[in-house]
Amino acid sequence: MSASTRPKVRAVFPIGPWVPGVALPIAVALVGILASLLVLQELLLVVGVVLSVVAAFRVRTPAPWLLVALLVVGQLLRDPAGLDASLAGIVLALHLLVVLVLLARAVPVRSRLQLAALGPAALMTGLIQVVAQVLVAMLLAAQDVLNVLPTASTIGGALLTAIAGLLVLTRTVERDA
Amino acid sequence: MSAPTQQRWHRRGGGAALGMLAIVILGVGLGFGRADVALLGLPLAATAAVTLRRPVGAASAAIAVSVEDDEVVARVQVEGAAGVDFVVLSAGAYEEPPTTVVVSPRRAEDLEARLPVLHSGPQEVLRVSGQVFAAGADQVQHLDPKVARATIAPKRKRVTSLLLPHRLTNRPGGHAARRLGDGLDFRDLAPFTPGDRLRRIDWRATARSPRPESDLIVRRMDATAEAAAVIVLDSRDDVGPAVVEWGSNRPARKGTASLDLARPAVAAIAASYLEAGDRVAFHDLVRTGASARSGGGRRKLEQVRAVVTQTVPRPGGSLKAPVLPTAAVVYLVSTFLDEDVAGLAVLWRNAGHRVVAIDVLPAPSLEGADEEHRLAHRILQLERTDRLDRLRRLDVTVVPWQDADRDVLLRQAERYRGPR
Repeated sequence: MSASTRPKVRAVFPIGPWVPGVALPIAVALVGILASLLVLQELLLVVGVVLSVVAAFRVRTPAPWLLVALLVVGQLLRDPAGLDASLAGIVLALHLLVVLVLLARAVPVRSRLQLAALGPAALMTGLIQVVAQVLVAMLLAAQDVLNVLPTASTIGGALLTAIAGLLVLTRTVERDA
Repeated sequence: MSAPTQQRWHRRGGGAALGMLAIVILGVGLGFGRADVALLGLPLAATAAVTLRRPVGAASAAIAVSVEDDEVVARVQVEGAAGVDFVVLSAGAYEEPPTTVVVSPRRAEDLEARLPVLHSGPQEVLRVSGQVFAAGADQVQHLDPKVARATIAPKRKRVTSLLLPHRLTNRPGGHAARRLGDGLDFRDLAPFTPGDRLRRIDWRATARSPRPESDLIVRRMDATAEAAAVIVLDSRDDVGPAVVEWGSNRPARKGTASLDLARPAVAAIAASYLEAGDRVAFHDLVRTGASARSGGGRRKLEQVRAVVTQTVPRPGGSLKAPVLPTAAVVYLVSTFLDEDVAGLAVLWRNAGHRVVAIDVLPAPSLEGADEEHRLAHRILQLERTDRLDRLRRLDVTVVPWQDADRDVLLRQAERYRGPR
């Protein structure tokens, strides 16, 4: 068997459902861009998108925290009277962004990431979001924009269901294995 | 007593940065009277609080290796990781670059990898390092790197033909000797002389004898003797078919190497002679190598197998020619890439030993070799071919071990009775 046709010898551990480790920086970029689209406008939007990409590539640098700060500044610049259901999405996106950044700083890009390994982070994110979304709903109600609550609830509920489904799926697979 | 450095938890700094950011956002939100901005900071503050948790305990990794059929089964177990977020494990097989997996602590308790058996002998199979992450992936504990080694024994095979010394020793045994004795093989008829046994008298031949003055004719038989086989291994080289790898010698890339051919060759030759009731000795040509003194029986076979299994390549080792018993059959197992070993073969042949050169250089592959490599290899091969041709001319049996016709070559050599 020639050198080129010889299969590479790798220690492959069967770990059940997994995604590549690079999925985390990609998710950082996607969530960053999504949050930028929700919050930022004009020039700040461009900066936000660029910063999202930089944060994904350089996740261990201050770039992700600058992006978070930029998003907060963008929210600060928005008209407080124009609050709508997007606030729920912004709260969720910003939270997801920091959780993903913390994970992406730890997980090597060239790795196989077992879905079950995301369980604790997903669980904690879900629990915090339940409280946060309730507070968002209360704020929106106080601002007399209660009519948009069904939309926010639908989005939040769908996300929570997805997270719970992911947890149940990965734990079942792990237990069966 | 403090824990070893590897077992301490370290903060990675992300939680602190996040905490400060959350405080600033909450402050800005409250300062500007913007509840929506303050709400943005709340999940961040909660996440930062999670990173403040202080994980306890010390995780450790262990590897166990076993050989099953044609596979090496490596089990990696990370203990003491309960309650952490996830475990990052990097595992490199056969000194290759590692692959990384990120798994839950439960999965990390028992991970199994199946690897092909690439080589025989003692070798590094798996190298594992890793980290354990807790508190929202902001605290890390490094696992002590572990290396799993295994010793793969050569497969149990036999050779079909046993070559005998040109002149056997005078010990009793199963092979026909070239001297007179009490064996079963007929040698010739001769006049009766004092000392001949009466039962050896061939009455029919005596009656047919044309010479009236002859008294009696006796049947003379060959003696039997056991062969003294000496297997000598040149352990300086361990080169594979991939010529470009001869310098780096990476286990996963060099292919089936010369020592991988040599170990089963030694074991098969020893097994065949010992099963025939002969005596076998094993010597490593390199001065620091191990040897097995001459002996017979099953225990000797296991000893030879154990010694040859533990033989490792010793590049640049100085040679030490073993002392050979009288009229032995010597199997010289080598790549014959240099003149020294060929010189020994000539020396032993001239001393009256029957010498068999077992050539264990794998069929070369020049894939990926540049022009300089090709030229150097060509010169080396020409020299080697000349060397082996010279040995053949000097009545040394040359057997390429990787050759499909090796049994045929041995059978032809078995029929050859040597110079009389």
